[in-house]
Amino acid sequence: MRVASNSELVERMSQMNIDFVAVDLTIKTDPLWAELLRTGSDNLPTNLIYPPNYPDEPAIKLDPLISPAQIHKVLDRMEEIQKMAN
Amino acid sequence: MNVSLDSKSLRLHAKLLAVVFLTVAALSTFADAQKVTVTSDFKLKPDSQQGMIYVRAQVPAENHIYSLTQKPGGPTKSKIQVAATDQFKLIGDFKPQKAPHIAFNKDFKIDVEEHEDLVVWQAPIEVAAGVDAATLKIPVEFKGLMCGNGPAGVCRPAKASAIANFKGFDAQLDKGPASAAGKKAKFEFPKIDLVPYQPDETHVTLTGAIGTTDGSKTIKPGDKLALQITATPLDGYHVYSYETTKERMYKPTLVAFNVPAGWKISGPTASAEPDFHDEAYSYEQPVTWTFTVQVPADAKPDKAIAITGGVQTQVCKEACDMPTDSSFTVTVPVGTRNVAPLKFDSAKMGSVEKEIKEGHFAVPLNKVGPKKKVMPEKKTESKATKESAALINKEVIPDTPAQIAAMARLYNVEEEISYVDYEDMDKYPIGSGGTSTGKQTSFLYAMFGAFVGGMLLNLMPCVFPVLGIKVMGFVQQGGEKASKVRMHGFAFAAGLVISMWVLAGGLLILKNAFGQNIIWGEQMANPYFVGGIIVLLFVLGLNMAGVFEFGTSMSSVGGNVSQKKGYSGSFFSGVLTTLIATPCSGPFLGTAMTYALSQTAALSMLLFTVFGLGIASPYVLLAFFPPLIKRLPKPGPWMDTFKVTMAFALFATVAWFMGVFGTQTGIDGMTWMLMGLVIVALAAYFYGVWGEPHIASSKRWAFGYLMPFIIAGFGFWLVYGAASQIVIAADSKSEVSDGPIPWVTWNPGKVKHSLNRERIVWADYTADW
Repeated sequence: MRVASNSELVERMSQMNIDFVAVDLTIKTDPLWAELLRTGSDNLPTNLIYPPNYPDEPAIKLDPLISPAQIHKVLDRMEEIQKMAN
Repeated sequence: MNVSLDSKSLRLHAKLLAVVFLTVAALSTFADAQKVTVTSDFKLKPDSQQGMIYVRAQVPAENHIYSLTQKPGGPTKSKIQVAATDQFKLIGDFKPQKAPHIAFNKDFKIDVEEHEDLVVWQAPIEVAAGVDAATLKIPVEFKGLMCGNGPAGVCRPAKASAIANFKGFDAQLDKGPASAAGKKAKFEFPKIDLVPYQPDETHVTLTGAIGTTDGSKTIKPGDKLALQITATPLDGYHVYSYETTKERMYKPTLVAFNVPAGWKISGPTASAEPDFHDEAYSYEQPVTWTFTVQVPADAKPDKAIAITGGVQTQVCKEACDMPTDSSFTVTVPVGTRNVAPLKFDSAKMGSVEKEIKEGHFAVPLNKVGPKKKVMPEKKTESKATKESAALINKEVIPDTPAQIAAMARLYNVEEEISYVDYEDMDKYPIGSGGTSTGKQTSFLYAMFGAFVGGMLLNLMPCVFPVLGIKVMGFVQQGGEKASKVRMHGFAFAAGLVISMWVLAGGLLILKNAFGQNIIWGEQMANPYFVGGIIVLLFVLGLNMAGVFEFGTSMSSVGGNVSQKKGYSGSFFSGVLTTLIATPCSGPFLGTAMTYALSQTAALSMLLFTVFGLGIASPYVLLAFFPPLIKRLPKPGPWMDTFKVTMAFALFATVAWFMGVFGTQTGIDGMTWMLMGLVIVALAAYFYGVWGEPHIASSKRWAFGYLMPFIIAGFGFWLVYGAASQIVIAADSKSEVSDGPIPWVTWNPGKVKHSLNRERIVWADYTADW
């Protein structure tokens, strides 16, 4: 899943230090498969959001179906971690 | 058995016991000496309940422990645990007074953070109101791993505990911790004229000298000397920071040393902090690295002592000079002078790296590499708009092949990712240290998910055209007997479930017999399968658009509603539904299907059957309630319009699948596929025109059957060729997606690299299908 282009979300994410990384398994290769298994999942889509101080704080694994409200909740947590780190 | 002990054997046993006892005692003493010992206390600010708690760990000589912040994938990090009570609380994390030494470790492939000697950590603390600090005792526990220095150093768990007592009030607490090193001694390096050495075809010069640091006139045995190397970048070039490893995304400056036996060299300290830009640490101004050389106490003043070594530098501006190795040598004037210059010369490329790999470098005193810095970010306006987001996107650039290669060194595929499931977020708040262990799906939930997920799948866009075809089938059956309608429903469900068994059986054979890793719907990762689906849907679309009519044997497969007879048509509708539906994902399905694929073959087949029945259930239900069917519009001319409209819906589905096919096969594959479809359409046209029953038999066979067969064969050959154009993503390729969110292609180490820069990372594991 690619994040729905919810303008409010895009606006918020644009103000946070987020790197967006797409692990595209449209063509399945062994390295990509191995990377997927590292997440403890063998199902697509899988979305992980890592805090800036990972692994001190764990990543958040999103549900397969994501609502903007859920993403906002995860971003709230990430912002809190960011503030604590600073 | 009789045992008799004479006096001789008694003496022998006594001696053996004594040896064992002494050995055990000696080992115990040695073990005690090799333990990490911990002490702790706390101080408060005057007239305040807040202060600082200190934990001191004394590491035995020639050993080290690891930092509290050591990243996973490397050695075990140290932990300090302070049992919380209602009498006090920590109001911050423990931090070391002296930064650990950080060096890249080739075995772990990460930075390893080590402490030696005395390590002092401190953390802010607050004592609860009304609690008498003087009587407060705080239990502190230290856990970690202690390893001997050097490659053969033995590691053992380190565990120690202490009670932190109140140490008094300290007004200096606000001013930060005292330097562990205390006041620095005055540093006085002798003045000396040095002739710069410029390696061939580079924009940097090197100078260096060794000398006393305390103003002495001569170097004496036992002295600590300074050995300084200065790099001066020329013409606006910059030289990279000093490291003891080349494992960086840039070429750091490397310095190798060969010192005589008994001499020790450590350091360096740099004369300035490096700049950080373009993901590298560098200096545009001259930089001096100062190493400490320990002269042995028994050094002979009259004996010429030579220190040799080499420096590898690389300087860059818009472009980079080739990395260059230079050698140096210096004769230390013990007993005669207080300073001597380093003499530089050219050296064979790679010689410095080779020396460093062999361990010939200065023992780092402290962290000499660049401090970890956050990548400078351009600030965005607080009122960011879509336009500003798009602007941000443009700032993200793909990684270069060199960067990708460097990132790969950070990657450890064996390292599991620690995560918290979204639904557990409240259960594991920040700082709780909790992680999820993976969801356990129950069999009943999987059954429910498979059935309801299958039912809801009918509403997904990719299955929708089939829904239209089926509705037309029901309209056609509107005037028929209830029993016949029910049989059509059963035939449809049978086609769906049996084809589901075939598909699931194939997946399970691949999984169990060939050990393949299977993802639900991953047949869509196979361009041959996708190509086949595209051709099938395209041909059905042509049929519904009226280009040709199917023969009686396949009546109503594509909604050929003028043909009344044939449960086979309903059966094939079921098969088609399976083919179209399986790659689609919908609510509940992912979990259920993942569970199904992880079970025994019998359970898997049961779940797939339930899944098939879930998809078929709306149609079967409809078939059992003829009054519902009778409420559908009566058959009439509108059906032709509806049929052609559904043809366009199928072509739209073809277009969607072409997107997946294009990702898999690239522009070449897409081109060949489109050519193949045109040829197949031509074959369908000839069949439609010349294959009609009223055409004379010879012409019908020649132009209606044989020629379309040959043309279609050519078309299928093109489609096969198109599917063969599989694009395997190159490891060195990186792309940034269009759109407001700049998704960058994953490569090994990409996530870790971003985390090292203290970024939040959103990793999306996905596929076009």
